[in-house]
Amino acid sequence: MALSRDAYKALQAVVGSKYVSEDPGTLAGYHYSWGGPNGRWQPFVPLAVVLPEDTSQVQGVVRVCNRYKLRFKAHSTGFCSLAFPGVEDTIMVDLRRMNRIVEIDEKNMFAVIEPYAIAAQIQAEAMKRGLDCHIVSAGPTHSPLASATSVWGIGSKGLSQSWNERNLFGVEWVLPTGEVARLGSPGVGAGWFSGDGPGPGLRGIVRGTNGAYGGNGIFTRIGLKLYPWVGDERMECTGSQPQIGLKIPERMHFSLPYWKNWEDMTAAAYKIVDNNVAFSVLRVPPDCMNWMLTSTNDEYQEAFHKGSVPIDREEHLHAWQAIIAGHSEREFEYRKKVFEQIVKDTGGKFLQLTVEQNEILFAANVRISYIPRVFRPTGDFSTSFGMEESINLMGKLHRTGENLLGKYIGPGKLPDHGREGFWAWLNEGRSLHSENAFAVTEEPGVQAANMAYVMESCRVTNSEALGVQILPGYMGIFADSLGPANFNANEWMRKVKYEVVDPDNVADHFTYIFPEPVVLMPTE
Amino acid sequence: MSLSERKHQMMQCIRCSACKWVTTPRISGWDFATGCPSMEYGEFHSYSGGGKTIMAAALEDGQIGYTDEMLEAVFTCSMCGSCQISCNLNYGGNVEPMENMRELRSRAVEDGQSDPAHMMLIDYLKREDNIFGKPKADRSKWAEGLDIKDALEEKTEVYLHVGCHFSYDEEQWPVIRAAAKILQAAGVDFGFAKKEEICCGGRAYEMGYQQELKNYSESLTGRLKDAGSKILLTCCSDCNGTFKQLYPQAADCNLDIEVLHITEYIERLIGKGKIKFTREVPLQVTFHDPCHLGRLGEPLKAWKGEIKMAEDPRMYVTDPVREVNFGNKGVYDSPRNILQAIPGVTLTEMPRIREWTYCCGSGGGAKEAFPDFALTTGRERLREAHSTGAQALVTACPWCERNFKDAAAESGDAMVVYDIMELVLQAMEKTG
Repeated sequence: MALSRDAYKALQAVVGSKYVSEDPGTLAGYHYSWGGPNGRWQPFVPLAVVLPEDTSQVQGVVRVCNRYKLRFKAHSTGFCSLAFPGVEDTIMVDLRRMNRIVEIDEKNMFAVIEPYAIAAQIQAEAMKRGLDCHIVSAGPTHSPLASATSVWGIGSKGLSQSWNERNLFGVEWVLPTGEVARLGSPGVGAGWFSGDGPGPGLRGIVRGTNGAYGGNGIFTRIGLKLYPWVGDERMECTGSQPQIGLKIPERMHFSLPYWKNWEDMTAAAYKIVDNNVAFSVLRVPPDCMNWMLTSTNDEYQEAFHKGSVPIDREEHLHAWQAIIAGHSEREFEYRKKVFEQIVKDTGGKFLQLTVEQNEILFAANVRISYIPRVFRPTGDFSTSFGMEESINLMGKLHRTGENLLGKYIGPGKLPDHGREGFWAWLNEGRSLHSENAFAVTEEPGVQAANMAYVMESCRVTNSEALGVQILPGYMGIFADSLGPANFNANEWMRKVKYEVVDPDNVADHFTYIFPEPVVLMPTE
Repeated sequence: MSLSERKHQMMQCIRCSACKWVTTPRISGWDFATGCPSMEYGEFHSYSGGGKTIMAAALEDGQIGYTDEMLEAVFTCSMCGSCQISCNLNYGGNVEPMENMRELRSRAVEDGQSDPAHMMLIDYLKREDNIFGKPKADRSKWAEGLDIKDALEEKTEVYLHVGCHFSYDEEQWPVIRAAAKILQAAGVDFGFAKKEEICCGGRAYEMGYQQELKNYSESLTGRLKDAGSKILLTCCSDCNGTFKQLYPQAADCNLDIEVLHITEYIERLIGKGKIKFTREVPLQVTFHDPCHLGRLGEPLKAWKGEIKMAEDPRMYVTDPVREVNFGNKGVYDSPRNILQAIPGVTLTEMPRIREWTYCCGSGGGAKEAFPDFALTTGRERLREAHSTGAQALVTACPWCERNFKDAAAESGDAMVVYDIMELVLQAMEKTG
């Protein structure tokens, strides 16, 4: 279907003719994405793309979509959000012109932001005020508004900075009907400091755990919780491109303790959270750290074959990267001392890295830059598991993942980058998120192995009750398969979207919930 | 590598949007965080390095053809290379958006889809060896009254390549004359090719006319061989980038001579005591790093090889190993060291400097084809210069200087714009 001239003119009338395009060249960038179901080029080319500049224009675009029976899909920077049309007859809403940090309330520790203000900008502004923002793994160029309202994600500072879904305060929401709702405190004109009240609190409805990925409408402004930052107002970069580190501030310390097995590492994790001594704690596979510590794949290959990569795949398999921070010298020294005692008591050792390596990994944890670099080896990666569970499950999760993944690694199948690809975070000091991520290529054998592995991992996590399965961005096609094991979340999602929020299915449902159940795999 | 040969790299783009900002570790606030002037101007993703890469892939794939709108996105770009530096931060040369854009422009030219303004420039270039369409005979007018050797007639230690802009922009003659006077005062044995000087070909290459680069590189190689000079010196950053990066990388040309930008050479002369500053220049300045002096002036070796999948561990590698344009080896310290050596000058840095500098807006044929884009970009950089509290914006490239002055004049901006040579000469001149 081509866009009718009337609809096109109506869009022009809303955003101005300069900000509507249906040119095939322009549209190419709006149906291209990594991680989609169809390689890089996704099956549905949008009918047009629009660039609204404010909430009223967003509202106008949505109303045009309703009037002309079109679908819409919004995105901010377009990274990791599967920012392509999942259905036909879609208008892409690129929120690029809505890029402001409207306000930073230093005293009450929150920012009011628009969709295209990126994490690196918000963090830099927050740090000037002694504050920090949570950055999910997508990294510095992601949109915290998208993260908080629409997309599942987590970052290494989750221990002290929670998830962005919890960091969401007031919300301005353009519903698929074209109405504007303000949730939480802005709903009663009381500012942006709260998502739950005074005013209507609907955070669970607008996004739930996984996020609706645009399937519930467009979010145009939010209040985002900020956290105390003990480092410098402006972080000093060290090293040189691309190995840029950060000078570690006086009352912060980075270390990489490692243990002999998952059990000892788990025991340490409990002590770390029980004693509240760490600012951030992250586990990534050894190869990921080595990729971060080398400039190119060529450099990594040379170091790997010389045996000079600093992080050993076996010896340093069970390792946390930890940042200790203190608001005062005494607090910092106390926390550091307790942390070191915990590592000692649980049989751990500290890996000695160079100052430069420490600064690079410190930067990777503060700025959150692991995921962008994970694309370097093969240009793509896939993920599985994705548990929100007890820290105690770490060993079982990792062993299960390792055994499953091992079957699919080999020539013509998944690349061998170590035993497993588990990333692990200790969230809010009480739970574990652990995700088995691994590099893939576009080769058919690799893609087939990837799909077979992901499907098997879904079955196993369901059958062995390994926690709440999260498949970021693919909830749409997986929702009905995973829902029954997850408190029938799929039924609730369907009710929210089709009975309450979007009865005419105007917002692209592809990555949220289909109108009718889609069963990809039998549940046991 | 042609566009067809770059298919693998184009499809490595993951549409992360990093190309729209300066390298993310360098972001120091909400303002002055963006890196791509084209994206700031055009707004749609197609204006970014990644967007153009995706368009190029779609064109190569036969999914799209040429349209006015598509071509406008392709050519409304100063080819400044910011996208490439930001992309290479994490992807280590896997995508190289700048290279994709260069090949996309070349393909457009091959397909008869060149920008009309560029066609005219190339016509001028073919007739007069400069893109301004000025007579060859006038090329050395700037040097009238200065006793400078003809490098094609007499042996000189230093072969000065003036460049088209300095040769023909009369308002900039005081700058190039200042450079000549500085060299004379330092006792440097130098000459230039007078009216026989030819364009470096860099601007033509950036507009998509790759053969012109090759032709001019071959001509210059022959001249330099005959001249027997030890140093090829240029005052133009564009030429600097062309000689150091494009000739070896894109024209398979080894000039077999030391290539220096005037700032590098003057720094050397200061170090040897051949230039002494005798006069105070009380001025608070900020320095604009020209793209072609910095990241696009980074010397890169020619590379011919293949990108293949290493089996253990599996990942894409280059064979033989290829250098990646990270931008670290550009000329950044020389102009700063010169400024700091001038008595009275106080240097205050802008947020976007060195390899993460923000373009002036005049490169890639953009100023000639889309002047509003160039002026808008120039104004943005002037705004950044103002943010430092500087009285003057200093640069080391005639293209940048011209565009900043035009942008300031057009917007009534009072910022004073200097080429660094002007300040050097001021500081060398005896008072009274």
